[in-house]
Amino acid sequence: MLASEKKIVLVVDDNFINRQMLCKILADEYFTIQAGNGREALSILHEFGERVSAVLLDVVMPVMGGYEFLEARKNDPLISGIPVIVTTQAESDETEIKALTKGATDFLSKPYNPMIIRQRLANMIAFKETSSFVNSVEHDSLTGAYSKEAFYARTKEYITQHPDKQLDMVVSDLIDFKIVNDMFGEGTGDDLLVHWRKVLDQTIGKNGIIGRISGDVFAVLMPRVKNYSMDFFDECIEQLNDFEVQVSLNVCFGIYQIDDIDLAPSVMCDRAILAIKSIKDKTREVYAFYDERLKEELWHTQQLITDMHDALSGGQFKVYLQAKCDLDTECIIGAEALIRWIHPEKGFMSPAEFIPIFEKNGFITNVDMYVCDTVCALLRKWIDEGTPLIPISINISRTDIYNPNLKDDILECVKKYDVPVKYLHLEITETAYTENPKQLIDTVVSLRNEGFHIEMDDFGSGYSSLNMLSEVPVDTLKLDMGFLKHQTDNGHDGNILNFVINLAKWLDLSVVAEGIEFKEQLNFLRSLGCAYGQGYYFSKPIPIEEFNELRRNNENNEKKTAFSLKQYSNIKMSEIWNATSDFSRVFNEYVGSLAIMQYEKDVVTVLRANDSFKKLFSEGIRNRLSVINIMDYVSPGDKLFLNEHILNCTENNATFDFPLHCSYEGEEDGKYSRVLRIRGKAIGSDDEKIILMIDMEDITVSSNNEKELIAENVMLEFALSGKEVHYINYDTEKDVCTFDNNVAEFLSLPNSSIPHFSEDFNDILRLNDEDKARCEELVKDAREGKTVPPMSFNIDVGGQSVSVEVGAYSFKDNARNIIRTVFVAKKSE
Amino acid sequence: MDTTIMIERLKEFDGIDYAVVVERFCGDEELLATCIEQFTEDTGFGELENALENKDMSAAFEAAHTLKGVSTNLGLTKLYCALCALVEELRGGKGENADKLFLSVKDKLNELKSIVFQ
Repeated sequence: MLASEKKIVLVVDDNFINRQMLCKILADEYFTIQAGNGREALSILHEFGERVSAVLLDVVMPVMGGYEFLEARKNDPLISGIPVIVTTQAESDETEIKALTKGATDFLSKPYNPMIIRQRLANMIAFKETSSFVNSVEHDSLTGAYSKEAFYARTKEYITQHPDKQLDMVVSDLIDFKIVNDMFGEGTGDDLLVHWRKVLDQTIGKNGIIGRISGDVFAVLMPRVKNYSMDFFDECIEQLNDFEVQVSLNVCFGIYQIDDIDLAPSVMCDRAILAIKSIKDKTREVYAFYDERLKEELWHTQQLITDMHDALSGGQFKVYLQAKCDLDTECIIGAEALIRWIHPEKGFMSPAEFIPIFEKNGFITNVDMYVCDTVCALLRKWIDEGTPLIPISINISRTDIYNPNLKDDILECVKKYDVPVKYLHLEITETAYTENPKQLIDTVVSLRNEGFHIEMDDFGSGYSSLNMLSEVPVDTLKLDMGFLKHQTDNGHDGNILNFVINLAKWLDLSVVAEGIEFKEQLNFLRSLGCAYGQGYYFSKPIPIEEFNELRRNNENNEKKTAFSLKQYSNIKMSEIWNATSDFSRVFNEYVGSLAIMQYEKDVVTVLRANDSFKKLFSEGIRNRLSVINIMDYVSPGDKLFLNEHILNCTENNATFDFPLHCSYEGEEDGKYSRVLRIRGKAIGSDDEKIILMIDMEDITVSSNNEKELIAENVMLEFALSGKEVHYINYDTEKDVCTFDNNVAEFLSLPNSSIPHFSEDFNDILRLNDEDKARCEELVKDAREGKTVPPMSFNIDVGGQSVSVEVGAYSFKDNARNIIRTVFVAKKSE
Repeated sequence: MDTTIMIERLKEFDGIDYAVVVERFCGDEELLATCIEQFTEDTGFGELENALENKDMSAAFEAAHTLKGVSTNLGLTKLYCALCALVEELRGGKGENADKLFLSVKDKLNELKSIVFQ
């Protein structure tokens, strides 16, 4: 065919004159072929393949332009190895960058300089020939991106040739790559990498050079982007997720804005990777920049990691204790053990500085166990000294949750010092739940089965708090007062706190409020019924010796008066009537229901009430609040009780706190019946009158629901507790029981129903008198829709006495109407 | 037209950097003359004119851009300068003064034609 000694060069230009000139210039040394556009060029290249030594390519051409040609060539392994020189008009660097990034080997500008053209072409062909044997590793065989070494070489080459260009090194890391590999196999993982490379090619890497640095890490050298934003990355993240797997795919980008062109490209990539590491754990962050601070941080982290083992064995870690106090008495009722690192050079280090690092590298487990050991040793010491024991909580890091030996390690520690398990409380964090709920539940259940008391730290800081409470069996909730800090102005925070505290009561959990710094917070928490607290107001975390001292002093303190409003005990009476006083401000804005009342000869009148207090009452009463006698509404039994308490509290500065049953029946109000928790104390008195501060809370609903809830729980447990549980439908209106054949057989009955049940039940069951009376009661309650916990009866079955347990349960709709009533029965075991 | 006459005329024409461009053609004066003759009849000029008439600025830009590249290769300095001004005017799809600048291009082209080829 083209039997020629000369090497073949393909000239691609739509302009005939340009082609002729180039051919003329090259005629002595090369055999030239011409193409008028990119498409012609491609078909010629496909015919001749790598026998074409080089291509001279114009950019702007009809049918298929230069860039398109380069794009097509890049993805075509048959011809991608043929070097291409782009001819441009040298008017913008952009054109050149674009050409180079699209895979052009070099560029030449117009007007042509024959010497330069011939020289460059000769160099390039020579280079290509000598390097062709390494060409196979130039590109990563899987994704077609530059291999690491080639990428570094290209980067170096490009930066050297364009020292004035502002460039960025952007490195991407597919966070979920390992998951995809594990879940769907390496084949899918490989497909993902190929997909991702294509996405990069079409998005952020469009004008860049792309290399695969390792596994799932790709680097892109690209022109400087002035303002990076989420928008910049949105498109490629979206396209990444076009990959068909059943998980959502996330990616992180690290950006090193090249400011030192003398750095080795590998170092540039390392810097970008460092930026990725700074955000890899933050699920919401997609990109981060490298800056000097990161370098320092890394150095600092390395330093800490180097020092940590010596620090632990060398006693640099100290266990500090922070008191937990009873909010009413301010007595110390427990402590939380916290780790402190006193570094010989750096001094006192903040836990925030080293704990995240230890959590990452797993060293936290060693630290937590060290704390556990120290705390158990302290408890032993207290036992030996005869010091009363108080529980001490230790923190269980979220990484400990994954430690399969956690339980055994703690138990071993407890055994070593022979201390009662219940005095070692374990604090776990909510975040562990979001990460791996099942693991957390399993761990907590197994620890609790060993008798450990579990505290949920930082409750409310996460997103799944309420879900979690129903699934993780904890004993105590720790609330951070940070809750309160955000919106102290509008009172919403108070409502949240109130809600959580009530929720905790409902679930029978104790609540410890953390971060109490001021007396106001303490008072507020007391008024919400929060029992325990921790914070600088009581004590900061202190060394064990100091803590022992603190306890001794605390015990010497007289027990302080228990009342939520005692801060007002020093207020002057004039303040109460002054609408602009501090007292009035607090009083009016207080979230709970407060009233100042006057007691005089068995008559209690309201002098002042805040809005919340007024809302406790129906409209009819509310409007007359200032003129009515509260005693008129109190049930007769409670009337005496209230009288007694009021008189008592003037004598020894006591307080009272009990449920007050109120009822009233009037034309305007209808039947009115409430249970109010009343708490109060005297704030002033003279010979005839006593002025009282009263705090009320409507507990009507909760006291009703509580009973029902307990009964329902018992029933539920009963229903689920054994195999042979039978359900007997009871139509309360028609008074008919219906059941399945099993029950009929058990009772030796021909039919599966009993009409007139409330009257005739004993014809079938033949109960003794005592049981008969109880059964009547059961049926009566069931007809009223009450839940009746299971009770035992002896019934007669075919002449034999059989012991059974029977309870009743009613399903109700939202309006509490009975939908269906069932008896749940089973043989006693 | 006889190429030797064309070559003589080109040598005297002040719109061309003759010495440089001959070197670019590796001393092949005949080829140079032929190329310049072809260039004066380049369809690109017609395409440029049409595009401007149709207000298709991007097509006009492409045509002007190509012509500019060729004119610089041929060392036709005057024509090249006129095309440069037009290309810059058309860059980015603008071109309020494009018609005026195109007249100048036509002017230079006609000058070349009349002096060298008639």
